[in-house]
Amino acid sequence: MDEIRQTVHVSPTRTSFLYLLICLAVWLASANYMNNLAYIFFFLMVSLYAGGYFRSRLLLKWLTVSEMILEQAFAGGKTRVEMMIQNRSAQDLEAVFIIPEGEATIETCIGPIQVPGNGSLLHDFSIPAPRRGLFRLRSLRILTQEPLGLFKSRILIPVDMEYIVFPRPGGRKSWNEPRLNEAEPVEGYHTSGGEDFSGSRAYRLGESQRHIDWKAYARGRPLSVKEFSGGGSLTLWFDWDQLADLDGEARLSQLTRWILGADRTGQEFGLRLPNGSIEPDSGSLHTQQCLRMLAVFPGET
Amino acid sequence: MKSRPGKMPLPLPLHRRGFLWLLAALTVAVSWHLPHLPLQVTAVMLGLIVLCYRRAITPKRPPWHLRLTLTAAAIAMVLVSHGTIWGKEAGISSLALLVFLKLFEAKSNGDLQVTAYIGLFLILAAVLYDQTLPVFLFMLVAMMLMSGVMRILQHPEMVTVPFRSLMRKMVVDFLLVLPVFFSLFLLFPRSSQPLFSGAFRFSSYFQSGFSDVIHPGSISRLAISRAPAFRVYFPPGRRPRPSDLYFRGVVLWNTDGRSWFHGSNYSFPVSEADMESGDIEYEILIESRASRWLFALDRPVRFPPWVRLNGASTFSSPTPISRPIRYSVASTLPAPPTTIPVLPPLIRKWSLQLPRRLDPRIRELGEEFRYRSDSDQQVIRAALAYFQENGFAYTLEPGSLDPDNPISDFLFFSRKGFCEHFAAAFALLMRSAGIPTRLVAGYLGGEDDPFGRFFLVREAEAHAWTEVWIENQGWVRVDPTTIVAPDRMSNRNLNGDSAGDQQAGSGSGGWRNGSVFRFFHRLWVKIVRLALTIEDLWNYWIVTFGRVEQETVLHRLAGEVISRQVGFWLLAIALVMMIVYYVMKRIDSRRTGKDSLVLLFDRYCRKLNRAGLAKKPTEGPIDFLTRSVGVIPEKSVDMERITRLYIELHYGRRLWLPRRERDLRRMIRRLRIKKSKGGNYDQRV
Repeated sequence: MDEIRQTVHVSPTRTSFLYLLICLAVWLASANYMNNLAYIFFFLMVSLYAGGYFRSRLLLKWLTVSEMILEQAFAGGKTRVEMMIQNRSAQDLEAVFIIPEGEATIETCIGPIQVPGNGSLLHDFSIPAPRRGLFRLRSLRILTQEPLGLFKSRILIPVDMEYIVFPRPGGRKSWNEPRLNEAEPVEGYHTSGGEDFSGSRAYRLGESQRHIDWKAYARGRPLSVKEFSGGGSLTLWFDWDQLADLDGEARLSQLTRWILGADRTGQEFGLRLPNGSIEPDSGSLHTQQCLRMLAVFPGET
Repeated sequence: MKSRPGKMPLPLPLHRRGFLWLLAALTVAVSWHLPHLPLQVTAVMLGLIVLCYRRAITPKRPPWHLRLTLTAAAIAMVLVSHGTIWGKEAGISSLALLVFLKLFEAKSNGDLQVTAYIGLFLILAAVLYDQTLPVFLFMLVAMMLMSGVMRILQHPEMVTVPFRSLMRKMVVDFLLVLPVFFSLFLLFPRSSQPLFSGAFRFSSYFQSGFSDVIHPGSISRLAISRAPAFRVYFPPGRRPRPSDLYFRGVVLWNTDGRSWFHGSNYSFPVSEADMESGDIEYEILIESRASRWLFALDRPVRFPPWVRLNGASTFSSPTPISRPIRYSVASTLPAPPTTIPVLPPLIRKWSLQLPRRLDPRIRELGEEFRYRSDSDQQVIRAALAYFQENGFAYTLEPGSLDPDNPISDFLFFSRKGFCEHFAAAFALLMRSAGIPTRLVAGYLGGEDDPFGRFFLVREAEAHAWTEVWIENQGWVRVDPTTIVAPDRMSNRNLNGDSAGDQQAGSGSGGWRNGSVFRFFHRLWVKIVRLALTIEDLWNYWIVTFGRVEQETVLHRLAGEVISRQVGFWLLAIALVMMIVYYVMKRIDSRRTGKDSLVLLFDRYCRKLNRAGLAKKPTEGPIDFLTRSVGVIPEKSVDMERITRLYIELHYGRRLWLPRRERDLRRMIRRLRIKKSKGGNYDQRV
């Protein structure tokens, strides 16, 4: 069980110094008047303080975080984080705050969160994602001032997970322009994603669910995807060089927008960047790959 | 910018529930002072409470001019009521107003917290005034409420913890700190003298007891008071006979015909008795009172070392008895014969002093006794016979006597009086006859408590008698009251009750003889006695528990092996550490198996961990399974079954079945995984 026991750091809060000052005043009064009841009052205050310290030490000791998922986000938006918080002690936690710590400028404090004693909680929160890129969430700092606000206890939970922030979709250019590539022979390319049903193949993880053959699945067959082909669809090439009139980040934004648009209509597209290219395809896995390439594109970030 | 570690998102907006709770807690804290605050201050304070309440409903901070006006009004009110802002009463008034003003203008949770801390001073003030059990209970309740407020302020506003669970937590907060509290009470060093001599004196709000002036009516006024004066702890089985239960307090020498005074000039630090060990040694626990006189059975021969001796075998406390104190004293019963054969001339002069405007009839009567007798003893007997034969009556309500010459009025006309009338008249007669006489004020009799722990002397037992000087015998006690009312001595308890009854129901009908009444009366008497016993235990163990008692207890605990100082501190540190350890253990073991599934899965993870496959903190059970199956494929079936069942039981919406949980437990128990030889599985991956 050692692996789930947290090391709790406890420090007094600012207001607790006032409390201690009052303790001192009560002690002076009881010593001066030799008043035993005042002494009792003093002892009560001191023991509440001492008890608060020990309880703070134990409050977060059995708190764990598991099943953490970091979702993708677009720059300027928020990365959604989902996780399971488990409290293995009998103490209810009424106000827990979470501060994510990582590479990007994350300055948020999530909370207050209530975690019942001997219980778990599926909690989701968002952290701001101002810039595109691949980031690393190093750890979660979990804080609480319970039970009496005299001490602040905190634990550090190592997470070490990557999360990706895609460029912000933007730009006004229409992707009609890539059709300028029509000079290339269309027939040479793999053309799927058209209008006419051309057969079915096994479902691949990450593909759009739109083309799943649900009827076949209901008949007990494995998941399959209906494939369409048709001459109506053109393979699009989203090319970095097409957007020479824009600066770096704006180009990435425009490309992101095109990719999202093409993904929505189910068209095939390829991506060509100065540091590499992705062959035309469709489906969410492909879209992800393209967006990822844009996100990690070396730039002036 | 990087976020600082440990930064909390404070200040949060004003916490309304915390605000209301704090208002309630402060109102409770101030309630103890309510009867003693000036009326105007109370009125302003109640107004402030209403304002605070409205503030909680419409959470808008009052404008600055309103706050300023209210503060000025509060200061003015304190100035008008007390004439000053400095001082004990004025301080409490200002404090009472200040906390509510502060609450009224609070703008953040931090403000509320600070206000709660200031409110603690209100409790302290109550405690400084009185150390009785009710104050203690008040303190507990108020402190519990304050800690509850501190707790609620930590909760987010939208979290509504049920009232009962909140109450439970407040009580648990207190119970958990009890060991620390008790060790502090036992071990924390106390001061034996005031730290600052110039500090305010807090004397009890409720005070009783007679002063060192006795005049007609001063004792009969006390005679209806049921308040305890002091408690006596006799050695087991050594309670003196009722006729010996004279507790001497003040000896009064000087009279103006109406009142009797002790007078500071009459003190001389000479004891008349030998400092031998007395017949009986006992302990007295005296309640706080206005005067400093301490009491002991007639005649005390050994005194506690810290008292001031005032001559005539009387003694007093060097400081005001503003709190109950305990002392032990030894007495010889009856008073031992004197070792001084001749009365010193100064004392003779004092004890023969007569008022300048003495009614000549008193002097004539005294001289007549002297003329008819051969010896001092005969004079005394004649005077007592005079009381016996002339229809004198002992009563609590002697009627009004001539204010200029109350004693001659009593002696020659009304002939009805209380003990101070008899004693004063007798003393004047004796002095007229040339016999040195002094008046003694104290207590006579008392009652055993139902559990036999102590002998209780109430204020109603206050009594006055005389002591006359007889050659070769010294000062001899003569109590003229007992000649007229022998009951007064033999069974004061009866007398005291009848005094109370006279008050309660003079002229009431026969219903008081009904059995229902008698039942309730007896019940009431029992309750009162029980209350007295509890109060006694409280005073004995808590209020008078000082440095000496502390050392005694520790000494008894530690034995004589270790030297006092070193042992004291060693013991203190050891005990505190043990208690702290105990408390920590206790709290930690409160983790119960309520969520036993999680604990079971922990066990499974531990097993895999021993085999070198550690579950990452952020890994879910399925991810972990996928990884585990890859590493230990030979156990994949078992691991998959365990994980599936755990997921089904823990996350599934299906009915949770104890049987299924038992299955899971068995499966986990039977899972055997060989320790990896090539070190860590993780490294192999």
